[in-house]
Amino acid sequence: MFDTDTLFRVLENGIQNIIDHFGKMDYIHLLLMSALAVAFVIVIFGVIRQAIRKKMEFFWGTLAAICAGLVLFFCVMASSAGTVVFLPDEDPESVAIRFAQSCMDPELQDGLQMTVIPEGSDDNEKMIYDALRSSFSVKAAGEMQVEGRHAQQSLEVTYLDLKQLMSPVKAQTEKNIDEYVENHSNAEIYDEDDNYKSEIMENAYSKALRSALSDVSKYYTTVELPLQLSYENGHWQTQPDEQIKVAFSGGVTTLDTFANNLKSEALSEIIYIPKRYTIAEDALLAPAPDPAKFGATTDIEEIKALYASSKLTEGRTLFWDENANFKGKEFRYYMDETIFFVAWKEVYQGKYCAFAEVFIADPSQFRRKLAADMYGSGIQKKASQLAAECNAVIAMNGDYYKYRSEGITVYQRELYRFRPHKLECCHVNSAGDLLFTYAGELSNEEEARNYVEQNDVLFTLTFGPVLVANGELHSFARDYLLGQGLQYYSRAAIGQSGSCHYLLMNLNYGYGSRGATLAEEAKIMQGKGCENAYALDGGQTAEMVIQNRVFNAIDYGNERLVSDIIYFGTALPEEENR
Amino acid sequence: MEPISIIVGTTEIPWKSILLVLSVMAAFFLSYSLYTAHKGGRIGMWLWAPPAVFLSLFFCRALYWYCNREQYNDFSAAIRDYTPDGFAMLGIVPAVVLAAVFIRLIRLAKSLPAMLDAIAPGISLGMGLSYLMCLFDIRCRGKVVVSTPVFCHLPFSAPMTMPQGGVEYRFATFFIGFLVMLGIMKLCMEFYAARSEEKGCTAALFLLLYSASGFILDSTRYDAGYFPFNGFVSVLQIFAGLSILGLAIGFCVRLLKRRGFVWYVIPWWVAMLLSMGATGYLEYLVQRYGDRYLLLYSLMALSCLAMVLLVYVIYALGRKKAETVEETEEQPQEPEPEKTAAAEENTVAVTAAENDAEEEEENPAVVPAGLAAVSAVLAALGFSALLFSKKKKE
Repeated sequence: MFDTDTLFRVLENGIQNIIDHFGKMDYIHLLLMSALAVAFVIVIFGVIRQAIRKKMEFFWGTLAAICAGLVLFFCVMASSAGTVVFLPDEDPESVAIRFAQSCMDPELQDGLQMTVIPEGSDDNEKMIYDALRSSFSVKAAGEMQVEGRHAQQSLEVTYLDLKQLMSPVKAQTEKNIDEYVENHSNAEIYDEDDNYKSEIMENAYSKALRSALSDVSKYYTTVELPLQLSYENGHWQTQPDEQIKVAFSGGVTTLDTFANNLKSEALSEIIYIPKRYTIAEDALLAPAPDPAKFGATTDIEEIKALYASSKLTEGRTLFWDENANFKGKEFRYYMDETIFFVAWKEVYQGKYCAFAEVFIADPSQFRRKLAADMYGSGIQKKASQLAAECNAVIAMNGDYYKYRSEGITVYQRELYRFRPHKLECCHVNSAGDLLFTYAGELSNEEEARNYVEQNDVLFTLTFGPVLVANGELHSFARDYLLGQGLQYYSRAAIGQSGSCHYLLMNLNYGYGSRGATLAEEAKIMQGKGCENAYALDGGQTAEMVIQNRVFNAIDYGNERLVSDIIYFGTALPEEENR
Repeated sequence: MEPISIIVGTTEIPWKSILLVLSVMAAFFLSYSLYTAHKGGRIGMWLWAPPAVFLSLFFCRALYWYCNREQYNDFSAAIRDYTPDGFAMLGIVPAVVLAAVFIRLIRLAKSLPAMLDAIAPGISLGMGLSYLMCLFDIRCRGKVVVSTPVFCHLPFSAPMTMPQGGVEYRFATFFIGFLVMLGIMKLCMEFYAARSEEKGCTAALFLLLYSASGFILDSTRYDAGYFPFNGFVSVLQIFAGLSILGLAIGFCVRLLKRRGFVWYVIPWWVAMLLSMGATGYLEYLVQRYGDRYLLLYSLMALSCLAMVLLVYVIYALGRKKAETVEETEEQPQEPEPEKTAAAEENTVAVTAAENDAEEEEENPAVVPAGLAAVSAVLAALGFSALLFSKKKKE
């Protein structure tokens, strides 16, 4: 691994660093080191005693004590000093400069992906992109600070602050439309419904945008931001934080979303273009919801008003029924521009159920979370802990994939498990729809991969069976492998009715109900109006979590550890959500 | 904690690797010093180490793979590359035993049990030190999240960085495991020093203590390894249960062989089965009523303690007679004069009575250990029954 010279250099450097570090150690570590030294002396005396009694060989016993002592010594040293020998091959400053250059020149492909124009962008988006790209100017500010294998370089970044374009573009768009109205006849301006023709609005907006971008330098902003670097795999790697990413996106989260929202703002007085927010597909957590937007009430009228006020419910057939046999009397809800849910408990068809009706603006808000964010991890946690880790607005148990080894598991579009046996699977695609496959439908991994690709499947749950398909009760095998369908147990299911509209259900013990069979569960989901519904893991796993607390009457009154949850998050960026 | 200790160009050496090497060395040197001091063969011990290390790596990885098959493409992928993490420490036990069996088979060790006796304290030390590798990752933490600030540090809890920011403190199972294994090492060393002539007993004590402590510690873990067909009881817990049962049966058979049928075996088995039942039942309860972990784990500790004491009792009761037999086996046999049946019966009765009397003197711990065990069983059973009836009423 090392030649002799390097080995000596490592030893010299390591010993020197350890000795030097003693001078910088805090008192707790010094105390621990002292305790270790005392313990070591005692152990050596013990070895001597045993050696005298001929119960142990002194030399080897001492070696054992030294090795054990070194283990403890290194543990204390590692917690205090971290890396003790650090001899990198390259200089972090050159990497920081290369990073800055690459940010200004995307051709280098070494910088941030945000500066690369997304595919399918329209002319307006391209215009914004070009203006943003030409606005970048980056230079090092101050000296590089290096500590162990971590370094930090301040960068002075100048960029086009896109948010500043909002008001001038809006004002100019309105002015353009006014001018057009003055100079043209009604037939040229309005359609048959007396609304502005779309091309007029498009032209007005594009012209305003072009005009604003023609003298864009006045919207430039200069900020000083820290760039973190860490030495990994033999090279200094830049680790741009969120601030830098935002700066290189022109102060917005994503460029295409901004372009949509700029247009929405510019034409807000004339037409309604909903603002669009998405959560990145590979994000491990959603933006944090605003705690103030969670609510609880016992007033049915308040819930009715919430339903009426949310744009997400427009034109939807609701699962919620104001005349239901509510129990617990308290309704829980959360509402922002991108997500709205109402959760309640009721006795329905003689069963004690907790329901949550969820509306989301974008399918990316329907997500799956695995413990340790890794498929196959041995780690399991409570659903409420997993929900907290991913900023879930509302979450429920998934299929508990780790508990069994059958079924199909897709996570982040990757097929991980293919042992379908006779199980029915629920696939969630990029449109947020529940798609089902039945026993024997996918006969090999190749077919499964094709299915995932063709249907744009993001993740797959395997428990089942399918309860409702296309509004009809689905007939499943009496001896369906999972869920002991003929027995009475607590149950969980997810249903869907229309795009981005879901019903989560947990059925538990209480109010005379002793659980349900799968057939009864299916009737409940159909009765509530689900077009599609699928059974998830039940028993003590059946759980609904709102604001990181259990909402339903969970079995034994206690959460168990699970490997996964499904959840809905807000897509509203945190800075816009407060 | 910073996981890398040494970085030179493109070469990185993690702290864990250094700790692992030192732990293995400590385990070997301790075993070696004990074995050779007790007249064990040096060559045998040196030759035992390499297969023990390689088999340990193999078994630890194979067992981990079996419990977490989906982290690897296939078995060969799991056992080809040992660079990434993923080892089940339980694999060390069969590995060191197999390596010792190999050494015995090639006749480099006089006695397999004697070799295992010397190895037991070393393995305890090695396993204990290896637990400390978890300081550098997020493995072997507890199900319990610690929020009381005064307990938010070792040995009670260890920090974990959360994806959404902030730090979570979880029960430091690995650190408690480290302390427990050091305790087991100390006990095994004392036991070995005092009773090295009883071949195999130190190894049995190690197995007993490791199983009993492992049962509880694995129950507290949030990443225990399970068989693919059973997600309730972990592999280590099943191993622990079978080991304790095996030891109980083994020592009981030994007692009955040496003494013939004795009446107290029946209540002893009743107590043994009750304590095993109580332990299993408490594991069920802790999974169902996780928020009462403090009470339930205390009771589980009691019931595990009861199992340990009961096995010790049956071991101690059969010990005196066993020693006598071993001594006679070692001495050249002289032809015995023929005895009549009545005389033989008389001799057996007198010897048994003598042995009983001697045992009282030789094993003063038997009675209190037995009483403590029975009390522990009853306490664990009583409390858990009380708890369950209370829950049912709710």
